[in-house]
Amino acid sequence: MSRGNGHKSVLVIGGGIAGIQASLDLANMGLQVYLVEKSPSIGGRMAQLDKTFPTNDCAMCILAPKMIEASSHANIELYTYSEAEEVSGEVGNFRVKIRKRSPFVDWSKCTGCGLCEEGCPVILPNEFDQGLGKRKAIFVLFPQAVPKKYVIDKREERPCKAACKDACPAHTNVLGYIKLIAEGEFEEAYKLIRDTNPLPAVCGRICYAPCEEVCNRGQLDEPMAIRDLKRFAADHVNIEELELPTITKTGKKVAIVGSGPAGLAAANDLAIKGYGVTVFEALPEPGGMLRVGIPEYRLPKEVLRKEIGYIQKLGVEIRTGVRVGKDITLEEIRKEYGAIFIGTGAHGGMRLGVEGEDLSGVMEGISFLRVVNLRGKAEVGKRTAVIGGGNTAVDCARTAKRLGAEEVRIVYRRSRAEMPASAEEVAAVEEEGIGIELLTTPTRFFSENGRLARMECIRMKLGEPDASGRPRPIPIEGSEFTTPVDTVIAALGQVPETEFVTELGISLSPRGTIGIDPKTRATNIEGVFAGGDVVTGPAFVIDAIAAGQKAARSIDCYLKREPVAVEEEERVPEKLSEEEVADRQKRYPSQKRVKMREEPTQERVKDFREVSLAYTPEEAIEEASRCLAGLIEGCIECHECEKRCEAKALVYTMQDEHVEVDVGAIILATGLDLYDVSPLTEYGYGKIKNVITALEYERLTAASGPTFGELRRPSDEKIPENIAFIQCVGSRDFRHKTYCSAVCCMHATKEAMLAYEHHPGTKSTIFYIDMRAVGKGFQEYIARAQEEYNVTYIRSRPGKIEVTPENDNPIIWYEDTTTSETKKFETELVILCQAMIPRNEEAAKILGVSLDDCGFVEIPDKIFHPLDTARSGIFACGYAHSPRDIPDSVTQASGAAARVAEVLAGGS
Amino acid sequence: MAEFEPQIIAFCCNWCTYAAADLAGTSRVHYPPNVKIVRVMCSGMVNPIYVLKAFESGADGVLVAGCNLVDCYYLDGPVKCDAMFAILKKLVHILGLEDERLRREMISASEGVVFARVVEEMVEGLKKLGPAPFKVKKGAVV
Amino acid sequence: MNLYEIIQDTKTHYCLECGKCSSICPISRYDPQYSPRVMIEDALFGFEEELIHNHKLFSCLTCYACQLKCPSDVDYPLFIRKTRELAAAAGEHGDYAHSGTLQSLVGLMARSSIKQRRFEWFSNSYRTSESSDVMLFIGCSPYFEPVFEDIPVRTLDIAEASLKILNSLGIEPLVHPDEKCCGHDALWLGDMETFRILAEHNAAIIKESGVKKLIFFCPEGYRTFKLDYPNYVKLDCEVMHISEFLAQRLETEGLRFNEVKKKVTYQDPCRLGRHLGIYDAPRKVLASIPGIELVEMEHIREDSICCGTSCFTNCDSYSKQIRVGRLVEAKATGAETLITSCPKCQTHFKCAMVARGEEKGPEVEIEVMDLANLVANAIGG
Repeated sequence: MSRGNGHKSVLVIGGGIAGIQASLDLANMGLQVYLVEKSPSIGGRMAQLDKTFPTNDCAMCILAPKMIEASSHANIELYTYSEAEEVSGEVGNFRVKIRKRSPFVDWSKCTGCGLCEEGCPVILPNEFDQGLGKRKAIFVLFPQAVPKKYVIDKREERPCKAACKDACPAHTNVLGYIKLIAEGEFEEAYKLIRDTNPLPAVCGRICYAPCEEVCNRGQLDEPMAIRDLKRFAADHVNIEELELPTITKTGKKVAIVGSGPAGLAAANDLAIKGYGVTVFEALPEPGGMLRVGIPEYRLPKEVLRKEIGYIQKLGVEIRTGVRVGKDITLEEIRKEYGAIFIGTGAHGGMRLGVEGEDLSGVMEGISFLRVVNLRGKAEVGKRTAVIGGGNTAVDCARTAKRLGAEEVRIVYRRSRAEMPASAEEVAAVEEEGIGIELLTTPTRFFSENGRLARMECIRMKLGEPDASGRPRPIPIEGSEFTTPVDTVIAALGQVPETEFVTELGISLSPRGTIGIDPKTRATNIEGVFAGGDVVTGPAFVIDAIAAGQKAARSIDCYLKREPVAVEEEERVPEKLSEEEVADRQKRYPSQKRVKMREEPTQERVKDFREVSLAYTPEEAIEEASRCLAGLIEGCIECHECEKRCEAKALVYTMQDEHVEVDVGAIILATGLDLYDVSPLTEYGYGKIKNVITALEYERLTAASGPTFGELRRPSDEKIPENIAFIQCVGSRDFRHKTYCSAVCCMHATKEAMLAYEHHPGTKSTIFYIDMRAVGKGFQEYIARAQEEYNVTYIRSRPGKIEVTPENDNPIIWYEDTTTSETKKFETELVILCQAMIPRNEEAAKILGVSLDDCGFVEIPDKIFHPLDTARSGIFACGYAHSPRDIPDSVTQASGAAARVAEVLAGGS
Repeated sequence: MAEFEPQIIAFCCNWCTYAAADLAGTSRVHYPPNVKIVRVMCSGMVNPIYVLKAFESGADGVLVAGCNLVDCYYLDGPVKCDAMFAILKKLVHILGLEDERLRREMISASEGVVFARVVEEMVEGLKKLGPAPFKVKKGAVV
Repeated sequence: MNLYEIIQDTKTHYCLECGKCSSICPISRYDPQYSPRVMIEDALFGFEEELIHNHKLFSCLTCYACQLKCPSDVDYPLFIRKTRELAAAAGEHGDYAHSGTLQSLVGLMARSSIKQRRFEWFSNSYRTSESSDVMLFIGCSPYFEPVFEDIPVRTLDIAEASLKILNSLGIEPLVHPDEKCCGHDALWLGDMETFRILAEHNAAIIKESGVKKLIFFCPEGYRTFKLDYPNYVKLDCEVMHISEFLAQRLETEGLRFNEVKKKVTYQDPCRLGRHLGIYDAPRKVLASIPGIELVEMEHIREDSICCGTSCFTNCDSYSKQIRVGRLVEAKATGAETLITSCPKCQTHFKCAMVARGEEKGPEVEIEVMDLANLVANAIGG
């Protein structure tokens, strides 16, 4: 169904000042107007200008009321981000098909608040600022846009499945922060990570990176170095000086038991939500296993301290040295706080269960690490054996090596394939000269003089798989042997220590872990929640963080007395299909992952310095640029905006729409484009930094522009005191555009005046061929520029611009045509008054109106029907019609509106 | 048909060869009248263009003559002349002209007889060669 | 032809008198009094006498820099050439360099039918054939050698290198013993009589030899044959510059070169570049030689700056300043060698480097080499 009444409606194509004026005139006559604009906002070129000639009024100040009037007029229906696609019929009875491009944002919901824009990681040149400024992939064209609705600049399908994000327990926006790193926005990248993970610097070092395992780039060549890039972002931001969010206090309090990753994550999220958070920590330092379980060379204490420090700055109080159950009871806490989160981790060691285990010289792994991490040292003998094959065993072995043990070996009962430690850790162990004895287990320890001296071991063989799915190790009878040893560290695994919770009656699983409702994270006792290793048994940092975050969401709901929001189902990380892999391989050349450098092995084992050396910014950008998602232009669909949008306005699946309207007449007011002046190589545009175009200059002087109205030249951001304008760049030139663009003489004069108004004393020189001041008061305007604004006019068309290398000053070569002498003129900024070209080719084709040689709309009767195109019922005005300035365009627009009214009333 | 009378242009230095030619005259030493003498201050100033112009203007042979190496009024005129003449000879050679049409001599002021002999020899040689192959450019006369 | 017709023919009456030509002109840069715009103004005012007796009429390098940027499409170089015809008819000829030796040689060559001894330099190491389809035009190179002995310029080396290149491609070209000067300088100096004689002669011998393709290593000869001869004589063969020919062969035959380790920069000769629009072929050839690193000067392609003198006329201090300026630019690239593909560019640059006891100017010593020589080196053997 189409809309509109042919005899009473009008289509206006182009929402610039001419289109707006024509629409308002017609609407005020009582006619229904459909105003179609290609870009997301009306306003056109005038909106880009700083001031308007000849009154030197602020362009936006006089345009904005017109835009508002057009958008709120009862008789005007705005179709922005839309195009007329088909026009059929004839005068009095046109049918027009309008395509509304999908903005991927439900405009009925969008409030234009801009939260989405802040989070968007895709940075693109801002067309409205002539590319001088930046905008995001989700954007409004300019602050005063009408309508002020966001649009996603989505150009192509993301070539990967963003499996990284789905694989991450915390659902970190991996593609988002990698894109920011690729753009060089390191601090922004850190902030984006921090939104879903309060410990980026920690995870950037010790996360097991499930994201990398599923990374779709890995299907082409090598997975992205996601963890290393996270560390890079964290290393390139001063966490201590990071700004704090504004927090609205709720007045309610939450207690957290345990300051490990689960507790910290919960504390962080709750503090940001406005709760008063107190963390109880039994150990003298906060951080839990991160502080006492991870050796310094993998995670420097200083890094951890800074990230915890930021959480404290959010208002979280951490009481260290307070053991719940001993120094304070859960019951006491429960009375004071609205909710409790238990995240005490798994700090209990496991026993070997062999004879001699209690000898001095036999230690338990987790307590060994705790001692070293808290005191900085521990006694190890010359010959040290570490029992176990997990990450803790590896940490113990490498720590012992650094403490001076001469011979360190790992003794593991299964084969290498079954070692739970990560492959890279095992490789590092061997690099550092630590032996690994496989299929071996100790059976007895012997002492001499009260100290451990020897260890008896037995060889094993692998049998049938056991409950864990791994082959069961079976001792080989008679294979016992004895070996001298000074220290044994038994790193067999950790268990939670949960006795203290029983006082409240919290139920425990047979394994000794706390049982919770997996949906709400709540224990069987009201108001008490739990998460992390204490619930799951030993797991990874990022799992604990995710658990803390989920618990925080539940606690928030609980305290607000809201039902716990049902979490969306976890998405399974997707792989690229074989065809997709083949396609991507064709599109993107193979590129190996950039490896982080490491401290030389010889040196690093001498102390606890960090082993991996961070990326340089160049390396990080190179690595980040491999990300498949970031290889496309425009939106990468990281869904950050969706996450932030409170109005839930984002619709990624939105499609273009078509609307049909019946109109009696059409006005073409598609305005102008700027002629590309880079082919005029003599002026060095694009090559010489301080040569810019007039519209770029307007954006530099405009308050809403990229410099907020400070006129600073591009090369060194210096305020220029001496500027020059060159007229007719591409205009009146048989090689480019033969016609006169009609406005440059006057806009250059206006811009020269603006320079003076910005910085009194600024000297402007305008190189002209002949001054076309053809209008009322124009000549006086020029006289004023000369007399009051320090503007000099030189009659000459310069032929060459060179540059002084020392200060980037452009040098203009010109012939002074009054003296016939060739001269050079050094200045600080050159503004090229580029030719303007009509932007009406597509519209003209659709409307079936012919264009003249220069691309302007052909007018058959130039004298008595100067606005009538060759097709009856279609009229043209503004720059699409012929070169003209704003007042002329507005006059013409009113004229066109009058002609439309005349025709619709039955005239010819 | 009258016998071919070659035209010779002789560039003679003011101090030696021109004097020699003068001496030949005052001494009543007979030499053919086919030679037209251009007096130059020094044989070293004879530029290739002088010679080429001579040919362009219809000369059949050109003689460049000046002082001996040791008695140049300007010390090194003959050296310059020799250098110039070497280039000239190469050019004229490539152009296809017979080498005999060009002659370089050092004739001192007292050698009127030598001058006469050189001219005689050249005229004889040129008569055998015939006229130079260049069409005279409009307006040029020897 | 009179001045009125010249104005019509060269669209001089379109001139807006904007002065863009003057500010582009390499001469005006050093000689602020020289203004193409004023020349045109004089013509438009009808000051014919002043114009044809203006000494600076012969200063124009006809480098086409102004013409390519003229907003009104005035063909200033053509205007100059035609006005010089009027001047020449009135006996004007500008200041000949080398006292006019070269002009005189051309005149003698034109006005005689003697057999030149053009090929005494020629060694047996190159293969040529009298019945070849391809002819290599040698032009004035044999004459340049003695004239520029002191600079020194070895134009015949370029001829030899070109022969070597053609031989290596399996071509045994014809080198014609009766070739005469192409007439480029005569044409651009307004000496139409000499030009016509030469053009007719060359066209006749080429026709007689029956060659299908004529290869040049000198862009001036190339331009003259390609753009000017057709207006006067009938020429039934394809003409090509050796760089174009090589670029073409690179594509069709997958030519491979040995490595030559060199950092070079490239001078676009006016005739090859702006006159004929050939900018890419020589660069393509350079890019195909392994080890060659091309670093471009500030002004290249259509913004390239002329080597400073043309037709061996009005070679004055400004001309030298242009050349020195260009050499300074070449040196600034850090290149060790300035490659050009015009023997005259090479001559003029090398000349500018010979100080001859003048005041010490900027450091301009740089190796100048023809593209053909570089390619010949890369062929080896």
